[in-house]
Amino acid sequence: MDEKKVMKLTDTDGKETEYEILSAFQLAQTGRNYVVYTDNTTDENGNLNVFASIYYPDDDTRIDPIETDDEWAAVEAALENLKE
Amino acid sequence: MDSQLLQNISYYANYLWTFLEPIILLIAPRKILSSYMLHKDFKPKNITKVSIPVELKQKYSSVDLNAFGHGRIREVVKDFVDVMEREFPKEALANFYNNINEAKIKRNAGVMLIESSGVYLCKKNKINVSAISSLYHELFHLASSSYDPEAKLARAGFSQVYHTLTSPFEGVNMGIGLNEGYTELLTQRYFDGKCKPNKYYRFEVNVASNVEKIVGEEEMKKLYLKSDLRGLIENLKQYASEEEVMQFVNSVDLVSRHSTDIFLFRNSKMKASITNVYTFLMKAYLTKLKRQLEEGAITINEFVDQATEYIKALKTKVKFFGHTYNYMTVESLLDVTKEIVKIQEEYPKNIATSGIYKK
Repeated sequence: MDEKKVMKLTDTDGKETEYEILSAFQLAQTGRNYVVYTDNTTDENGNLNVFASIYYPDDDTRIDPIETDDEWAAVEAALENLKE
Repeated sequence: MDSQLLQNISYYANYLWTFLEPIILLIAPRKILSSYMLHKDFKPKNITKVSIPVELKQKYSSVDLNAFGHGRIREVVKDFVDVMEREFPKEALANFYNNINEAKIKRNAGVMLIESSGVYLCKKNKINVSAISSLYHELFHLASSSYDPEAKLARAGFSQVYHTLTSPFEGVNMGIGLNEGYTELLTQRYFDGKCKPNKYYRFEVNVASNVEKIVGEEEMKKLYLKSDLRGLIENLKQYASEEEVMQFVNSVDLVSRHSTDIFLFRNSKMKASITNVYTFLMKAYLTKLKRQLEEGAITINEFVDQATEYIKALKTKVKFFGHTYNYMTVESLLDVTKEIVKIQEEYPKNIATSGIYKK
């Protein structure tokens, strides 16, 4: 059985925030690594708040926003496959 | 088309997309979402540190064979890569790809390594072998290892320091016996004929093979490649208590560590450990089968057949340095047989389909 996977982000004030990783994948067309995660909170409609970013396997100081429509489409496809 | 079949198709389709699209899944999804809100405007700011699971630190997704020259080492590595990519789940290959692309492999024909013809040094990501045929076994160690420089922790397959459990096992190195057994089992399974079976690991291979029947072949491969001893223990806890599982793992380690110690092998603790190992295996497997029978996943005939086959595959005696331990007594075999017969008598014989029998 798979245990919960966690990502922790620490900011310049030393504050550490923990997120549960829902999915992580590489996209062949960009060669980049993407992580889809949640803080396990919900919005006013009861939907799980989900986020996605670009991470770097060999650089633990960097995490970047996703900018292109193609990359967001891949994230949304990953999330659709997690739906009941 | 019935609903069960539709559910199965839907389940597998969720994973098939990874092969149809140019996407390499790095983590097997655990959570199923009912509804979500994707916040595209969320951008973490002023981040100085990102801590992610080791399996996400995959720097490579293929192997550059040119790094291994043109000789026998390259041939063996190519063989090994072919097997890994064909027989093992892609999402479990992060350690393999990270290590193989930066590994140093050396053959020292003139050097006889003590009790071994090869070694994988996890921290240095280096393999030394005295015979090329030993390389397959060491490559499995490479494929299943990770080193955390922050924690100074080396994990190799099922061998690691286990921090999360409280006494009496906290902080103890464990899993060495299971790790060597499973590594050698995989070596023999996939490279039979290319290397001689390691006669020093017969006990460990037998144990690992029987654990695999409890855990399942695919799950065992994933746990091994992800260096997830804790996951293996959690899996076995479905069929035994935590204390029993930990004692089992430690018993395998003790026997494995001292099997060549001609002064210790007659020790009563050694004998008790061997008995503990096989008693645990019998109990855990029977528990698994009973549960499957109660859930209707197997018929009573399948229960009896599988239980009998499992016990036949267990060793009744273990030989070390010419000395034989008969740890499976007639009484313990009779007890197990009686239990199987009792279960058989409690269930009707003419079962055709699953799901009918509930206590």
